[in-house]
Amino acid sequence: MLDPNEQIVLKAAVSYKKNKGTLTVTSKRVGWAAIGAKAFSISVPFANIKAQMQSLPNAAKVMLKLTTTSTDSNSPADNNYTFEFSGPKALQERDAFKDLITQNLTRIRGSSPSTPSNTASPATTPAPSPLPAPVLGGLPGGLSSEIQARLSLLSKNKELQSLHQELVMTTKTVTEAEFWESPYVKRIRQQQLKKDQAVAEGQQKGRSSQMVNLLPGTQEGADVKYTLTSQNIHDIFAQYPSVKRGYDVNVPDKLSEEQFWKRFLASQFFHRSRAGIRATTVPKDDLFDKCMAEEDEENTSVPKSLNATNIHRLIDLASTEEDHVHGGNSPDLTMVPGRTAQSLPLIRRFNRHAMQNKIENEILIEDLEAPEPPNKIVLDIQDTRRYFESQSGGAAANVLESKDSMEVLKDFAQKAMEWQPDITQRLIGKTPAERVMHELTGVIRKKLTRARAKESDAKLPVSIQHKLTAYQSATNEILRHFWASAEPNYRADKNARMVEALRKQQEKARELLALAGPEDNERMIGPVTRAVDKALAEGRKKVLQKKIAPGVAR
Amino acid sequence: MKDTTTSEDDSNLLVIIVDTNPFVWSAAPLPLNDALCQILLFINAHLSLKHDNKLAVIASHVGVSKFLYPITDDSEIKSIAKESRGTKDANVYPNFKIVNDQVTAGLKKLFKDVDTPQAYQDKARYETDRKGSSHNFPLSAGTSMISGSLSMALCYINRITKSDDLGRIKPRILAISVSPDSAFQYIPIMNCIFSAQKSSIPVDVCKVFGEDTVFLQQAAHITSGIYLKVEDPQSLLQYLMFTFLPDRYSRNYLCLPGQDQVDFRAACFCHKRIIDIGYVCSVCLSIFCDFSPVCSTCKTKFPIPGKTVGMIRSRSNVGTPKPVSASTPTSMS
Repeated sequence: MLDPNEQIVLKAAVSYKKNKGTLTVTSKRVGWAAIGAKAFSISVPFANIKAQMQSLPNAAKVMLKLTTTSTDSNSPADNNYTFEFSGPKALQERDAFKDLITQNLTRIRGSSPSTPSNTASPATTPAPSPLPAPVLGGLPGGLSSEIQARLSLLSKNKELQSLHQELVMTTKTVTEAEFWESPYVKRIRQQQLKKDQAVAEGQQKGRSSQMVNLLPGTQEGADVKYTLTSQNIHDIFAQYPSVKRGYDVNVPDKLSEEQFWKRFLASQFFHRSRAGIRATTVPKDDLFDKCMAEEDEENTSVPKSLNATNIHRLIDLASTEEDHVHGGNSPDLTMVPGRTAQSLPLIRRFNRHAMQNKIENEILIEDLEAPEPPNKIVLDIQDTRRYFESQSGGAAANVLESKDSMEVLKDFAQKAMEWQPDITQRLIGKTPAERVMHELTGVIRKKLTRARAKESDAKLPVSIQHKLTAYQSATNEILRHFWASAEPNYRADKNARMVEALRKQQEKARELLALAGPEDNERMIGPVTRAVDKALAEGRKKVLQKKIAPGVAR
Repeated sequence: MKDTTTSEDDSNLLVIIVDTNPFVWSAAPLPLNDALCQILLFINAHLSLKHDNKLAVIASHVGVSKFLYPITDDSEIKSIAKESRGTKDANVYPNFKIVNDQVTAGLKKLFKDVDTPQAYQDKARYETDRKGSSHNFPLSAGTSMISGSLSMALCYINRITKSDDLGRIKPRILAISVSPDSAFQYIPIMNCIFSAQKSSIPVDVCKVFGEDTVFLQQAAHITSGIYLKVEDPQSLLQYLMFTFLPDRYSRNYLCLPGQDQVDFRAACFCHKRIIDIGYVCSVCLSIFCDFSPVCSTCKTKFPIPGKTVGMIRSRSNVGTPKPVSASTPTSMS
């Protein structure tokens, strides 16, 4: 009744519909067989389990109910199977079963996120995203975290995805394990991790403005378990100052911390705050009754810290009132604060909570503040002159004697005094002017021809470009694998596979070239084709070596 | 760069910066007087293209830069006008006449003051032992105040554009340069160039004679201006009319001569040789052709490679390409 790969994980004595039998959880499904039966009369693969439910902790019968999707096309409604655990350790067994089933469900659901829940077959259905679901190659037992990592990597990095597609899926050249072990792939992985880290660090989560909401943690039998993290405790203190006061006064002198929190959780105060005004099934507790009284008092009185003059500018609406005059609604006269006395404490509490969540700090965005001037060592350029002179290429420097310069200046001044510009006379002759014209026209012509030559860069159509780059990266990866298996430890089988793959790539190259048109494209993929040739030659040599000296140890 | 659209109706403001370095001009193949005549004619041509074309002329002298046109000092305007009444060109268009007279008078005054250039010590003179550069002129440079002139030009343009409501004035700068680069003015010139780029003011350069100035080449390149090296200085006017007369609007439709190639190559700091591969100091980014344990510009010490642990080695080898073996892909972190 079991599949060859299936293993039994858990078994227990369980009755179904008043029949005694055995409930079994295997690696693939949950099954129940009556006592003495050989095969499972109820067999539910994990993928079909929609939900599970259990009876109340202190109920008489220990039961587990599974809701499964139906594989029967006649009755499309869900099936419900109710199992009753009848063994001596029924409760533990039931819980163990429940946990195991939950684990398996998350595993199944986690590794195939795209599987819609009403298909019968597990995992390998083609879904909207083209990811192959079981990326399990080479992993012992299928560690789900590793699978997750690989899948996310494939989804983020297109290059890796296409490489994976081609090498592993389509041509089956490289196995999963080998693919993920390649150093190139590892490097991409590291880069991706770094990118993700940078993104995560860049965004700082603001302070949570959730009100304190303590769900019952886990239910174990009659006890309800709450987990109070230090963050939770901090939030409680912030929201309920009366609790903080009680804590300060009583701990650690009168009550230990554990006792304090036990009483807190059991108190009416706590339960009341969680659900408004509710049941009185909780015992009285003097400490927390006091807290309750305090809170009520605070909430009913008008909050005293309404500082009309000191409102933070960002939330001060009154300041821009004059801009919002036009349009809008007429003032609502039905809205009067404090009309419903019952909701008042609640509303006050919410208001106080909002105020407390200090707006200031949240608004201050680090990036917008003026950066502190960094403590730096001032760059001390000793010889600034020389530094900048390098820019001018070291032109000039015959020194002029000072008396010479004076002479030059005086001479110049004198000539200037006598000068009377007459622009009515002809300034330049015809021939030199024409010569200049020709020269400049030549310069322009050269400029134009150069500009035109630049524009005519022959460009490949995009699809061919994609194909060529894909071919290039795939071939490179195969070459990598080839050389990894050739030196230093020669693995004949892998090498042979690589040689086959390389031959295929050669043919592919020829196809691509035919498609793209030879011209410059041969030169473009030249290096790769040459590398492929070399590798093939090497491969042939190795095979010959092996043939010649089969018995000699390598 | 500011996105400016030019149109036919723009009024163009041309700011000319004339390099009047007397040391260089005194050894030039074209005397300054003749050059100035040609420049004045060019200016008149610019003004005559459109009735609302505007002009400014700045002289870049040794140690000082001065506005030649427009002059705001009323008394000076009057004195110039008085002087020029005696001349015989009564049929000259008055606008042209005013410009010509003011420019000439301004230059004369500039040259009369002999002391300022004398007092200006361009410290580049300290370098005595550089040889091998061939010049057309035996006397040295000293350089002109091109950075000052550029700044004045930019400020003037800013003032004019601010007071122009319609946004119709399209400015540009033309620098007629003869002097070589001054290392001391590198930073100010670069600052001017960047602000011209920001305001999308093209800086054209006409190099009448002398060696190519890298700063101005870069200025023209980055502001999408024209850098022209004049081969025949006698026909300067032809060059000016051909290349620099069209305004910004027409430039979109004309292919004008100019130098496309700018020499951006790095030269090593120790020998001023152009190098392709070298060592770069990671602190001050100065380039050397050979390794030295102490950077000569910022005095940072670098340990000698090979004698210390691998980590520091990568720092001192900044700039040297490491050969990468293609066969074994090393895991890079």
